[in-house]
Amino acid sequence: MANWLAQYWVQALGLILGAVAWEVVGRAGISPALPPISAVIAAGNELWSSERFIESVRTTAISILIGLPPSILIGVILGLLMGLLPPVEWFFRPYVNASLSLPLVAIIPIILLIFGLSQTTIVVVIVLYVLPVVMVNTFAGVRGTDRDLLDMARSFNAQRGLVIRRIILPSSRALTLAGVRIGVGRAITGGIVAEQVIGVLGVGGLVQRLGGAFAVEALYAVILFIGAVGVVSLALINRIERRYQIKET
Amino acid sequence: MIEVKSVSKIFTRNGKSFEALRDVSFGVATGRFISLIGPSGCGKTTLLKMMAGLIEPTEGVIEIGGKEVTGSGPDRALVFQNFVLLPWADVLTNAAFGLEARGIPKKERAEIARAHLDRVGLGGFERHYPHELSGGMQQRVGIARALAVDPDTLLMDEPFGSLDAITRKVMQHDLLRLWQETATKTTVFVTHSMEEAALLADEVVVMDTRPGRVAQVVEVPFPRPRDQALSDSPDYVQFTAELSHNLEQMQRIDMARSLDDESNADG
Amino acid sequence: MADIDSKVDGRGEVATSPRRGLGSLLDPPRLVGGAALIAGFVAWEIYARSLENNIFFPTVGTMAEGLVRLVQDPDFWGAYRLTLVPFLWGWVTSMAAGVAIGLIAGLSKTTWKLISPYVAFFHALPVSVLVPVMVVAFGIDLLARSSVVFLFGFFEVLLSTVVGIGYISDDIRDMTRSFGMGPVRAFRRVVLPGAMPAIMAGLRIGTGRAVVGMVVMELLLVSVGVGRLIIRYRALFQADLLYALVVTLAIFGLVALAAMRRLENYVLRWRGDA
Repeated sequence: MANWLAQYWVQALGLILGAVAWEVVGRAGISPALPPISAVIAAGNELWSSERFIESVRTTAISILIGLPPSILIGVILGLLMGLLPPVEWFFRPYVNASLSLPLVAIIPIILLIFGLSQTTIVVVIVLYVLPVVMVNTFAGVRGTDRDLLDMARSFNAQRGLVIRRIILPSSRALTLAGVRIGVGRAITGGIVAEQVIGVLGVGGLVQRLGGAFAVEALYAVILFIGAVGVVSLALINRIERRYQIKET
Repeated sequence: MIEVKSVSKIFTRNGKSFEALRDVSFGVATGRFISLIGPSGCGKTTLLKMMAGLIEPTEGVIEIGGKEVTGSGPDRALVFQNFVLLPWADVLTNAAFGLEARGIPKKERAEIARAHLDRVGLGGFERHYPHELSGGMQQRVGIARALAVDPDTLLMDEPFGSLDAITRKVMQHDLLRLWQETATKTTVFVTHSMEEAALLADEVVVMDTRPGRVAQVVEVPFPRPRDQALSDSPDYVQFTAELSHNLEQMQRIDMARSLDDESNADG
Repeated sequence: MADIDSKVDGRGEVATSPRRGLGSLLDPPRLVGGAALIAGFVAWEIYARSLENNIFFPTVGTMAEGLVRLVQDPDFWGAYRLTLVPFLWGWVTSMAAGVAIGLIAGLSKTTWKLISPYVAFFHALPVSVLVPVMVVAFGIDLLARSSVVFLFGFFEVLLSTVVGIGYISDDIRDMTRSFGMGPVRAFRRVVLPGAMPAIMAGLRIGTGRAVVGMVVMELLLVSVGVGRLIIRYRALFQADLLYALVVTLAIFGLVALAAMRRLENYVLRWRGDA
C-alpha cells in the first residue's frame, strides 16, 4: 500500500483536489448543473437501494449478457477464418471497414424502426457494435504472427495444422484479447446509447429520465457509477491481457 | 555433398529489382564445415535460405546429395540468428518442435529433445521459458532443436550474431567441441566474423557484394581436432588478419560505390 | 498485406498486385469484396420483397428513390445546415483544446499525473451519458449542442497528443539539451514534429468521434436539424426516407474522415511509403 501510494500520490492528490473543488464550487451554487459532491453522494446512497435503479441495471446487464458473448465468440471465429483464409478476408472486408469508419450510432434509428422500443433493439445494437471490432482485432492477431516463426516452422517442414495450433493461435492471443477488451467497452457504450435513444429502458433510460426531471444529484451519481463500472471492467480485462502478452527477454 | 551451380537470385519489389546473387558456384563436401562470409548485402543469408529450401533461385540449381533442392526437407535443419523460439512454450517443447513437425509421438520426442538439451548443456532447464533464459542459452535451445531431428546438413545463419562478445566466444568453443565430438555433419555457417570462420570452418567462402558473388574460397590450414588454444596461436592471428583485411577492403569499396550511386542519382 | 501463404510458396518475394489501371479492379481481394457487397444488396432485396409488409425493409430501389427525393427537398438541406453549425463549433474547439491541453500534459509529467485519473475515467465512460448534464447546464441551445460534439472529440485528441509527446523519449530530450538547444527550439524542431504522427492520427479519430457526437446530439437533444427529420420519418413510417437519411449521415462521416486522412497524409508527407 505504501509503495503504491508513493508512486501514485500525485494522481491521488489530483483526485482529492478535484473533489474539494467540486464541493466548494457546488456549494457556491453557480449553476443548478453543479451540485456539491456531498449532495451527489447522498443522492447516490438513496439510489443504490431503489427499485428503479436496480431494475435499470438489471435490464442493461441482461442486454449485455445476451449480446456480448455470442458476438465475441462469432467475432473471434470469423476473425480467425479471415486471418487464415484470404477469400474469407476479402469477403468480409467491406462490411468490417464500413462499420468501423462510419458513425455506427446513425444506424440506431433504423434498428429502432425495425425492432421497436424494445430490449431487442438494444441487443441488436450491441451485436453490431461488438462484432466488427472483435473480428478485426482477431484478424490482425493472426496476420501479425511473427514471420520468423513461420519461416522457422517451414524450415522444419511443419504441417499447416501444427503451425496453426502451436504458432498462429498462441501468437494471436494478445490482439484477440485486446479486441475483446475494446468489444466490452463498446458493448457498454452502444447499449447505453441505444437505451438513451429509447428513453425508458435500462441505465441509459434512467439517465435520460433523471435529466429530464432535473434530478441532477442522482444523475451524477449514476454517471459516476457507470464510469466506475467501465474503469473496473477495463482494468480486469487489462489484467488478463497482461498475462498473455508475449514476453520479451 | 552440397553443390551450388550457377545460382542467381533477383528480388523484385514494387517494380524495382534487386540482384542479390549473381552466378554463384561452389561445392561443400560431405562432413565438412564451411563458412560463408562477406560484407552486408552479399547474399550469404539468401544463399543459406536457398539451401534450406525456403527460397528458390531465379537461375541455377542447388543440389544436395545429387538431388535438386525444391523445398525444406528432413535432411536439413536451420539455426537462426534471432533464435526464433516460441515464447509461449517451454524449453523442452521448443527443442522438440522439429520432431513434432515430423510427427513423432510425444513421449519419444520428449526423450530425444531432453537428450539433446543435455548435450548443449541445458539439462535441467526443460521447464523454463525463453524469456527466462539468456541469449546464449536461448541459442543453445535453437541448436538442440536443430540437432534433435538428426539432419544430414546443419545450416546456421549467424547464430552468434545476437550475442555479446564473451558469450559468443563461449558458444564458438562449445560448438567447435560439439561438432568435433559427434558424427560430424555437413555444416554451412554464415557469419560476419573472420575469427569465427577461421576457428570453426574447414573452408571459408568469401563473398563480395552488390551483386553477391564468390570472391575467393580459402582453405583453413589448421588441423583438427582444434581447441581453444588455437585462438592464441600466431598462425591463426595472421591468417585471420589477412582475410579480415580483404573483407574490410571489400566493404570500403562497396561503401564508396553506394555513395557514388547516390550522388549520381541526385545529380 | 502479404498473407501466410505467400511465405509458404517458397519464392520469398513479396507479391505485389498492380495498383493502377483496370488490373486493380480485377485482383482477387477487390473482386471478392465487391461480390460480397453485391451479395449483400441482393440478399437484402430478396428479403425485402419476400415480406408481405415491407414498411421497415424497403427494397434497394425504394431506398434509392428516397435518396433522390431527399436530396431534392430543401427541408433536408436546411436541416443539415442547422446540424452543421454546432458540429463545426464543437469539432474545432475539441481539436484545439485537445491538442493544447495534450501538449501541456505531455510536456509536464506533473500535470499529466494530476489529470490522468480524470482522463481515464472519461475515457472509460460512454460519453453519451453526459448529454443530459449538458441539457441541465445549458438547455438545448447552440452551446449545449456544441458541447456534446466537443466532449466526444476532446478526449480522443487529448489522449493521442499526450501519447505522441510521450513517444519522444527522454533520450532525445537529453540529446537536444546536451547540444545546448533551448527548450522552445527543441520543442519546435524536435518534439512537435516527432509527436505529429500521433497527433494527426488523434485528430482523425477525434473527428470521427465528433461526427458520432453530432449524431448523438441529433438523437438525444430535441433538435431542429437532422434529428427532427429522423423523428418525423419514424413517426410517419417513411422508412425509405429514414434509410436515405441515415445513408447521408454515413456519407458525411466518410467524407469527414477522408478529408482528415488527406490532411494527415499531407502534413506527414515526409513519411514516404509506409
